[in-house]
Amino acid sequence: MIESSQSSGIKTKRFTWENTKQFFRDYGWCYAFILIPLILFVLFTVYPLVMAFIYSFQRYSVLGSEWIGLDNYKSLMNSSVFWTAMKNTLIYTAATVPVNILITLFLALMIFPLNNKSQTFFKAAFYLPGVTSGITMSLIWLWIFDPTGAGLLNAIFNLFGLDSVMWLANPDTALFSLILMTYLGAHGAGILLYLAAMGGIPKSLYEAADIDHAGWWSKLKNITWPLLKPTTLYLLVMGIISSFQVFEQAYVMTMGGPNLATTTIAYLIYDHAFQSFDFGLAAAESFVLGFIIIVISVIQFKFMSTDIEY
Amino acid sequence: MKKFNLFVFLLTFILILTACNGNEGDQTGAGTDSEGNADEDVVTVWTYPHYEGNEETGQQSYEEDLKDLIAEFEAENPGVKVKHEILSWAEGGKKFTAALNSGNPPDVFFSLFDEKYVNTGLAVPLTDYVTEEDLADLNDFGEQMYTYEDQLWGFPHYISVHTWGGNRAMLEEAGVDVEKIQQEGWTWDEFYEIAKKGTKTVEGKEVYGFVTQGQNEETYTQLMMQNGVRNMVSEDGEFMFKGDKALETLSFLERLRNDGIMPKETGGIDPAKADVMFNNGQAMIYGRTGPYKIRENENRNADIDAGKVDGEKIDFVLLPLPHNDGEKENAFGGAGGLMLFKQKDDKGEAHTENAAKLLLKLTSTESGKLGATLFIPPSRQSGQEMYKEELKLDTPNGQFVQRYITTLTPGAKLPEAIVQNAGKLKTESVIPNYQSFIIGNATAEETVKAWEDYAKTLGFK
Repeated sequence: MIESSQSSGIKTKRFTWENTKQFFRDYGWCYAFILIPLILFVLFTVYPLVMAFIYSFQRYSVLGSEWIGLDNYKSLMNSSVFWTAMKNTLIYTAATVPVNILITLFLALMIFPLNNKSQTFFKAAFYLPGVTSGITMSLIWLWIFDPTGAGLLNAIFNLFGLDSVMWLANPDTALFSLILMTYLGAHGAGILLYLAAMGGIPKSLYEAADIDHAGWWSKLKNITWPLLKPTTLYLLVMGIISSFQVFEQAYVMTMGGPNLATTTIAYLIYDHAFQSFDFGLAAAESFVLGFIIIVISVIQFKFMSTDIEY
Repeated sequence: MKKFNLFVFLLTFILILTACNGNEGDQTGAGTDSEGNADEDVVTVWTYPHYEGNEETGQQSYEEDLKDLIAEFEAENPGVKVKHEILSWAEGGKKFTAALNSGNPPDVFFSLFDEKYVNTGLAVPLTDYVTEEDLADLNDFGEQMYTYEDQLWGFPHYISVHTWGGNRAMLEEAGVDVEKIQQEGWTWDEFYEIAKKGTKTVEGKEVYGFVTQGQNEETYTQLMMQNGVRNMVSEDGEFMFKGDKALETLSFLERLRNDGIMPKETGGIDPAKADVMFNNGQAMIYGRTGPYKIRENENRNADIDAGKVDGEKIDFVLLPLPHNDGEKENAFGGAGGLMLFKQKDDKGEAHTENAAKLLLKLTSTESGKLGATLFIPPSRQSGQEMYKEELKLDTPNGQFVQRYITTLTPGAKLPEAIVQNAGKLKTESVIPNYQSFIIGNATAEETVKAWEDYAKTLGFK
């Protein structure tokens, strides 16, 4: 509606009451429908975000918080537990995201050559566990990791004459156990994305490669992998964001223990908010976590974004 | 088309507004309730499924008993409507915490006493609502548990006590006089010798003399009480898990683990797993448990007789926690009851008064059924009298409970200034370092030093 006069020859309209009315007659419904998600976004995302930011500078109390400046931020920077949680989160992210992308890619490469029926079967088989509640999955894993011979993993170990391992009770193996859980599940969505992206790669590129007698590895390295880069970038960014926020597994499986070995930033935020009622500190930790995620995401986009079109 | 668009838009908008407003009915005070009854004061109570129904024994569920009490209350108080919600044990506490810290707690909530709740400013003392008769009827320990800064912050249903439990057949096979231990207690050394006798291999499977959970410091804390140390932090801010007493207690646990009397995997055993191991005959003694296990065990035995559950029936006996030589028995327990709350947008004195009336109804003499069903002494003397048959006070277990609750002492009530740091000390150092200790990754000395160092960083003496 508010088009100004330009020298480029674009047709312009003056800002008048009549033009404005006409604009809303033409496009008003679009804005009306956008309004609903916008209100929801403001109510359930922007408002809590702004309030959490304010709380991060306060000693929170439901009947009246006290302004304490940067004390919450100083407190978390001086807390050894916060840095332990940060280290655990970084290890978890570094150990899960790249490996899981490779596992997902490998599975997608195995499924892609199959006929439609088989593809559909495997897509569903890999995707369905993702629909199951994380809590249910964690309970199954609790049985698998049972420290006595009753657990599946230890039963297998005992079968081969090996001693039982306290998977979740030993600080040396607890975080690895949570990482192992991700390797053996939760690839469904990634597989679907990779398969869709592979389907979009023009066959002519592979035909040209065949003419040049390129092998399987050469085609993967020079055609498939580069053309899957946008999908890989997406999986990488989303994977890092979600692994930095990992909470459910630590909460259900280990309650952040043993000896803080699985205390992640998200778990620490929960602990400070809902166990200690220190909502100000928890809010400060949330913003530090958010800042780290933004920085890493920006770096990823800067170095990995691509203009590939095919 | 435009009319259709308008219709869709308005419908969507109304749906969103309705969804955003969905729970208001649960929290309203005086006004119109969700069924449209004007001028009714709606009082909300959140509690837990304290016991399940059992067809074999004819036991009603707690929710059914609660509904009966609520119906009586509503009949006695026309104009007051009660909305109740049975929370899950796993998530209920978190739901309440979120509600409390957003300023919208239920009027009445089942909880052990917690200073943090009072410090929010939304807990309401009952001092002005209880009568002299109520207080005279209330067990002293129960009253002490809910008293903080000279105010009564809740009214207990029952007096809970933590005990260990044993399999009578296995204990007697090991030559143990169960009743003597129940009535006179036992020392750490006596317990060790008995538990050692119960540790054996049966048909290729390990049977342990003692099984306990190792995921947190609870067993250690309760053994510290049997070694003369009641609290982790004293009311004047001194960290108490230090010095010889702490080392002695950790060494006792270390000895049990190293000698195979309790599983070397104790660090990975949670309370549910310990219970399962006991029920499966893999442990002669386990802990902690409590008098509630008697009813649970009776129901399990009935289910086994009815063919609903596989397994061996158990003759379950309650046992005291052993104490260190030269120290006194000191039972750990508490009082479970109801606390009164107001909302951030206070609904007024009349509403709070109605909520207090409801709270006292739900903790009245008749409500002693809750304790009696769980085999825990009701907090009111009149309740203990009314349900003496159900409590089976003349059985060895009943007599033991009566004796053991006399050794209960209330824990420290920490001042507001140190409550939060005491919580952090526990979750950020005491539990994590204990977890390392119990799996053998740290010695007793290293564990105590790590605790003391962290306590100092938080300003404890």
